[in-house]
Order: sequence, then C-alpha cells, then structure tokens
Amino acid sequence: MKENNFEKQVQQKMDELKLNPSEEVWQKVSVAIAKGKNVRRIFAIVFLFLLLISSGIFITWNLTSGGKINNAVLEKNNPAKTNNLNNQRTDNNKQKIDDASDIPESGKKIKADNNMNILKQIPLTKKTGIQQKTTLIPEPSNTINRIPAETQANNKNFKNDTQEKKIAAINKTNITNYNTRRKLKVLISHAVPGGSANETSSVINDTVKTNGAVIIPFINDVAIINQVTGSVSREKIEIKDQVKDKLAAIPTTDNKKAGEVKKPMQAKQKGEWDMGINFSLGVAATQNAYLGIIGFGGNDEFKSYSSPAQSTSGNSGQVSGISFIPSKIKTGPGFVLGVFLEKSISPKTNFIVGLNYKKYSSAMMIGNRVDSSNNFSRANFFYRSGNQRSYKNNFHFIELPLALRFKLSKQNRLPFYLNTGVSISQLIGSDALQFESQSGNYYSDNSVFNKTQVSISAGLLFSLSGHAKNPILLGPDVNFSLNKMAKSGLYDNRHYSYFGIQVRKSIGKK
Amino acid sequence: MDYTLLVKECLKKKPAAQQQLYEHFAPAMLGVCYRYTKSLHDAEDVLQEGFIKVYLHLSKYRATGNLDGWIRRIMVTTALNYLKKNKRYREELVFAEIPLHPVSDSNPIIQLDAKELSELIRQLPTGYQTIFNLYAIEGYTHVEIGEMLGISEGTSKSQYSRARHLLIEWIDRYSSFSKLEQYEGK
Repeated sequence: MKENNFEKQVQQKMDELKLNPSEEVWQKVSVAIAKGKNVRRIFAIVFLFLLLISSGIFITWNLTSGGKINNAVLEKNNPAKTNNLNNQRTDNNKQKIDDASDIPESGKKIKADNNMNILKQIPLTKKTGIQQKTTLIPEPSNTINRIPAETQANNKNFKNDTQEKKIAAINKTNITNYNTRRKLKVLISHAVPGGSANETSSVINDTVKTNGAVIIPFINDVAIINQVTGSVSREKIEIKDQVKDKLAAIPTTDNKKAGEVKKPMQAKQKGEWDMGINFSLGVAATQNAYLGIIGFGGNDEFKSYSSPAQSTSGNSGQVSGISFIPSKIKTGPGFVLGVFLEKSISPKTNFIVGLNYKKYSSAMMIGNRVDSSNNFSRANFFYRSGNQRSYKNNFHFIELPLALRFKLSKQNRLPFYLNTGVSISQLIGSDALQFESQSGNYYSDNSVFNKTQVSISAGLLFSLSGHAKNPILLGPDVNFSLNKMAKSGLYDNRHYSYFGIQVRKSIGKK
Repeated sequence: MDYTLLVKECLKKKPAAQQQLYEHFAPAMLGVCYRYTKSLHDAEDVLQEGFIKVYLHLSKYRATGNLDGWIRRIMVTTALNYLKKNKRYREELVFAEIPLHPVSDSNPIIQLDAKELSELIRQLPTGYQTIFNLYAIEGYTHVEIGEMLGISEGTSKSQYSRARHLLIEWIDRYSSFSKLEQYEGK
C-alpha cells in the first residue's frame, strides 16, 4: 500500500460528503447580499435617526438653559389708561408701566424691572409720522415689560427725526443682541454556539474503557492513554450505538427531512410573537413649531398674544388694551411604560406592536390662584400671571406604537439595534393651563387640545446581556409628534417631543 | 460544468442566479464547513459568512479557474477565521509544541462512509482537526498551514502526525465495531 493512500481515501470520502443547509442560511445570505440595494434606505433611516437624536439634544439643551419670560405686557392704543395700570395690577409687583413723563430723552428710554430684556415692539401712530417698526423680542427673562407705545407716540418728543433715529438705534441694538444670542443658541444647539459541543462530544464523549484502552475526553479533547488491545466489550457496542444515533441525526442529502433537525432554530424564525415590556424615562418638551427649528426666529409667545388692543375694560381683572405674554414653557420629566409584541420578519428585522401609557410634563411660572368665577368667565378658578410659583402641566396618553427593529451589528458581535416607527396616541387627560392674553390669566381648558396624536420615533438599543435569548436592551429613545398639540391657544403651533433612555426586555420563550 | 453564464448572471445581481449558485454549491460546502466545526449550527454560520463573501468578491473570480475550488478556499478561510474569532474554538485551538510523533505506517482501507468518517474527524481535538483537514483533505503544505495558523512548520507536522495516528486508531476500532455487529447479526 502506498504511503499516501490514507489521505487519498479520506479526500475521496470527504468529497462525497454533502449536507443540506437549513433554509434560514439562504435567507440570511440573500438579505446580506441585498444590503447593497438598500443602502439608500439605510442612509435615510440613519439620517432620520440622527435628526431625531439632534432634536433630543436640542430638547435637553433647552432644559438646562433658557431664561424665562413672564407676563410681559404690551400696551398699544390706550395711553390714557397707562397711568392706572400700576394700580390695577398691584398684585403683580413686577408689572410696571412708565408713562410719557418717565421717558427722558425724547421717550427713548423704556424702563423695565430688571433693566434687561425689554420688549421692542413700539408701534407708533400715524399721527406721529413715524413708521411702525417690527422688532424682535430678545431672550425672555423674569422681567415684565410694558411699553406705553401710544403714550410714546403721543409724546411730541417723538416727532423729530433725531428721536426716530434714536429709537431705531435702540431697536437695532436689541435686534443685534437678540440675533447674537440666537446665533449662539443655534450654534450650541447644533452644537453558541451550542448544541454542537454536545452533538460532537457525546459521540465518543464518555470515557471509553476497553481492555487496556481508555479515551478520556478533556472537555472536547481526547487523549489516548493506552493502545487498543483485546476484544470488544459490550460497552463499546453501546458507544457504537450512540455514534450511530448521532450520525443518523446529520441531515445529509439522502436522509434529511424538512424540519427534522432544525426545529430548535426554527423557533427563532418567522411566525412567532414574543412578548415584552418596555420602560423609558426622559425629558418631555412642548416645542414651538417643528422642534423649534422651523420658525425658530420668532418667539411664539409674543407673536400669539400681542393681539390688538381692546377698548373696553372687563370686570375680570382684564386690562383693556393690554396684551400679556405667557411665561416660558420649560421642559419637564416624562416616562413611557408599556408592553409589546415582537415578530421576526427577516433575519435582521423585527416588527413590533405595543401598548403604552406615557406621561409628559412641562413647567411654567404662574401667579397666585384665584378661586372665583366672578372674575373670570372661562373657568371656576384661574391663576394670575406672575412668578410666584412653578406649575407643572401634565399630559397623559395611551399610545399604540408600531415599529421596526433593525439589527445593526454583525453576527458575533455585541448586538445593537435601531428602532424606528410611528405611533398613534390618545390624550386621556391633562391639567395643562391655557392662557388668555387680555387678562393675563392661566386657566384649564382641555377642549382645545388635539386628542389624537401621530408621532414618529427612533431609538438605539444595545444588548446588556450579549447574545442571551431574551436580552435586556437599553438605549436612547426619541419621539416627536407630527400633529400640533392644540387647535388654538397657548399650545397652538407646538408639538410634543420626548428624549429618554429606554429599557426593553422580552419575556417570551425563544 | 461551465459556470461562466451563472457567474455573469450573479454579477448582475440577479436573485435567481444567486440562488441557483447557492443551491448548487451549498451542500458540498456545508460538508467542508462541517469538518472544521463541532456543530451543524456553527457550520451553517460559516457557510453563511462564506457565501456572503463569495457574492461580494465574485467579480474577482477568474472564469478560467475552478469555481468549486475557489468557493472551497473561501469557505476554508472563513472557517479558520470563525475558529479564531469564536471564543469556544479559540481556547481549544492551541498548538502546543509536542515532540514529533513517529509517523504511522498504517494505511488502513477506510470502510466507513463519508458521514461516519467526517464524524470521527470532528471528534479530534480542534487543533488536530484543523490541521488534519488542511493537510490531508485540502492539500495545503505544512509551510502554508503554519502561515495560516501562525505556527511553525514543525508544529504543524507533529500535530498532523498525532491527528493521523489518532484517527487511524479510531477508524480501526470503529470498523471492528461494525464487524462485530455483522457477526452478531445486527
């Protein structure tokens, strides 16, 4: 016999070895090679995710920065009443108005409580011959600012060009200051394997004792201690049977029946729903326009409430001709708690449907509570404008999320996922306050809210327990509502947004 | 068999051709992967990674070459990478410097079928199994094996010698089982 006969025989035998792979392999391969076609989609998803993450950072930034604007009042057409304003609103010691006599140097100076953040819309009447100027509102502060524009307009000091230039200079300075702050803000804000072992080792796994021969498995290693000698015992035959059983289990092209061997793996495949729970804790916000990015240049509070003056004085503490500006609505804590059902629709994609309860909140500064409907027709009680206390607006929702979860990591690395989806939520309760600009009162009225909200969401999830069957997934989560919060009022042109950290855990069998 | 047309179709990213190529080669390639791993599941993982590489690098395949051999080399390389990456295998893939075992003169006639023989090869310790596969079946030299596994040529030789000795012994014993069975009329 030639030297290399053994190797040749082995080669020939091994060339005959053909095993049928499970269908799952081709599915995974086809998905992987189709990836190239889906590059654009992936880029779109990643872009969306980055956008939402940016918005999350923006919201978080808002939580830690941002001043306050409270109860600013703009007077337009009623100079006669301006002297009375201080008396009428004595409950709010931060509201002052200066009449024309308080304005030295041709009415240029406008007083404010904290000598900062002066409202800068000074409407001048046609009578003065000075064109109305639209000016921007600077960063809000705690100050209350009222501008006796008409008073100023009536002041003869406003008539000459020099004065006009001075006013323009003030406005320009404020615009510059505002723009600088805005730019800064914008800049900152953009700133197994298994089975196997048994399968293998058990074939000749046990210690095989023969007459003088012992094969000892050291984990998977096998060492021959002695040479095989002597006759074959019954023990050997049992081992032989075990080997045969194992060999029979190998799915070859000859004997493989569909689904015979791969049952444990198929449990992970399509068609089965896994249940789980999810919890997220984070920061909720009610942002102007779309995340405060589109339409960012204006200050919504001011725009919405610098309404034309009323000529009549009401009986409810309203001040005719005065428009109040609501306090700044700040971000607040929020959380989401729910259950979900998850189904694998491809090797790397899961479809998720769930049911959540979520609570968002925001905070604002308000004045004292008044428990009398006589003073205010809209509600039985209301709050004055002011800085006396912080009020927390709560929004309670029931949410139905629909999402896709994409596995981003490669086969054997620590798994992480991208979650994207939409959700429909129903506002089931709220104690959020509305604001009436004429009276400066805060009151509760849920009828103006859009009860049904459609949101988009995205999140990254990292496995905390590696490749465990039911891993705990943790990661950032962003949600943004596409609908406006309310049809009108304080929350018109605002959207819910949320940035948090979520934890998900499947509890079903896999 | 001429695979030129099939390869061209695959290069055009036609799913039907890609699947045809897979279905044609997958059974044999799973046999290759199976020999290098300890479980069918792992073998399928290797097969999957290997085929993804095949499609990714198919443009590098020269039509003059043997497609079967080209795919097989990819599978072998993928299997070796899998063993190195996977902790369970990596820990067993230790090539101790052992004295060169006298090469056995024994050249038994293998009366086992392919399944039985492959199962015995897979019972070898991972290091032995890998070197035996590379040398005896794939036909790599000990120098090449040394480069592939980062070991010396001598280590490869001695490990192979041990593996061969062990396998022949097991084949003998297994064959004797079969004879006993026949004798007992099983």
